[in-house]
Amino acid sequence: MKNLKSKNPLLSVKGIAKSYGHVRALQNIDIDIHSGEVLGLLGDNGAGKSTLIKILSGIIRPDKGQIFRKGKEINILSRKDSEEKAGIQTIYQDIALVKSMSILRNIFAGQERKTKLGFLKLNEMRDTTMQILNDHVKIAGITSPDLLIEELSGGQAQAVAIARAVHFQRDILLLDEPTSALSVRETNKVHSIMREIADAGNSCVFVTHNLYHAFQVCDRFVVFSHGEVVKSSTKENTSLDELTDLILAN
Amino acid sequence: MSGEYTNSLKANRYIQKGLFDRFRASPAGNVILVFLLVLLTCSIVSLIYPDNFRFLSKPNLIILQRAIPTLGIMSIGVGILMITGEFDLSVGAVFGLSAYIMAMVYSAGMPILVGVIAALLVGIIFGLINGWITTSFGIPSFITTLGTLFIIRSGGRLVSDNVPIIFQVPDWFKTLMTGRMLGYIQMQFVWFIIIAIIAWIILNRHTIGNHFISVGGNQMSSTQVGINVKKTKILAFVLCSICAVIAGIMSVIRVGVVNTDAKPLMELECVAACVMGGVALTGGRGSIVGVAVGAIMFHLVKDIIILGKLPAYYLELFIGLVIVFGVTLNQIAKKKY
Repeated sequence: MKNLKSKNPLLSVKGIAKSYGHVRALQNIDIDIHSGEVLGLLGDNGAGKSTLIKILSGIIRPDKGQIFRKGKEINILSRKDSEEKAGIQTIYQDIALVKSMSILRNIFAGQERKTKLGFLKLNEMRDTTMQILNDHVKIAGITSPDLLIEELSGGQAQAVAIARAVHFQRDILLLDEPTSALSVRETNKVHSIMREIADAGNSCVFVTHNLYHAFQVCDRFVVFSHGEVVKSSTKENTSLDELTDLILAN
Repeated sequence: MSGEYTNSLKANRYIQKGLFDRFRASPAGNVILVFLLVLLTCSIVSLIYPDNFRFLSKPNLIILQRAIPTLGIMSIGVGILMITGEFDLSVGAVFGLSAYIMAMVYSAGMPILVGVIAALLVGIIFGLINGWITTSFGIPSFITTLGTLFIIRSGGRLVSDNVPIIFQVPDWFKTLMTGRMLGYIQMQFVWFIIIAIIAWIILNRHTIGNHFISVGGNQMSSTQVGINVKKTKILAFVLCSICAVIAGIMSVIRVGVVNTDAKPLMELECVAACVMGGVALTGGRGSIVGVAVGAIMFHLVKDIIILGKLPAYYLELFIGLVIVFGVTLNQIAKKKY
């Protein structure tokens, strides 16, 4: 783990639980997220990883538990709370993009640059979009911010989603299966972006099924199974084989 | 790996396509091309046979300018709502009732502007009701507005007792809404253009337009990026109703007679104009230019049928063909280009 990691966590979740009817999606989850680290959330389908991400993103509310931001308790009741109170920016598993809209409009959807009367500052948004695409995620083949998402390949679309999240990053970037549709080159690019974000003193939470990807980029791992944390370990204290065995065993 | 390769090819194909292909792939692309072709053909035929096909005659152009705005303005509202991913089958009923309310208030001795405000309030209230029921209870808007269509129609008959109101609005208001400019240009058509421009600005240059397209294109992702889906949809329902009210008022002022049963099936004609204009039935895709041209095309075909002395049912046949083939052609264009 990088030396940038602080003793006091940037974000802590304590005793978080969530059920859907009789199904317990999460039970008594305690996790700390530190500055300067890439934290891997691992586990099989239905282990509870995405439920935790949704809670931290303000999409759903936990049944019980507390969330602390730098030691101070906060309530995340909405997406806005997640961004402004918890300093979280999320990239979702299902690529939160609208296919029939342009890259430009997608990047600023819900966070438009606008005048006092609500009119879009399109030129400013266009310049910023090109800057985002060039500086944060260099995506091959994208020549104009006015291209529609449906005109892009899956990998390009995913990269746009990442570029958006990186641009609007707060302290913590949540990435829910961000590389699932990317080519090897694009995946490596995303990993290096995560590393850069962490090295700059922020943190990334990387949710993935791909243990090889996780082991390549993460500093610490939290393994979920049936809604519970079954292991939490730094990279130095575990191995790819151990993590694989743990997930398969559960 | 092959999937990635295919995706890459797909991306390159799109990125390398020319300006004309991109135009055709745009929501309004096909309808604009067809419109220009039909317009050119009609003009040429009219010049060759001026006595048999009086398309370019002054009376015909005036009739077209008077007829297009009613459907055009309503279709703009319906189009915005369809882009947001919803339908409103009650617009025809709101169109009739609101015009009747305006005439009723004005006939009771109130100023005409009070009548207009009353009509707008009726539209806004039904827009809010449609939007609230649809978004709060997760009922498909097709069902919600089918219900309100019948409620408003029967409510209108109850209020009017099936007796039309004959009225004459003040000259200044009549001139403002339905007069002429420069001899040829009808004020209804000017208002249609003005409303289309306002709607274009809202959809393309305003935050709320971005939210309309986003919500219609991907409701889940819109929620995730912090857009208030419920509020956005309710606003689209209200705008749709307001357009129906404006169209209703405009259509009765010139003739000075109104009843609540005005023009059945108008809601379906609006949907047909929107589909023809490239608005996706699934939401998230469409343009105001396309809707406006779709409405103009609709009346252009109606005009051709009348001028060509063809049976009236040809229009219904045309509407049916437009809905079935219009959607199919747009899908093909979207995939091909």
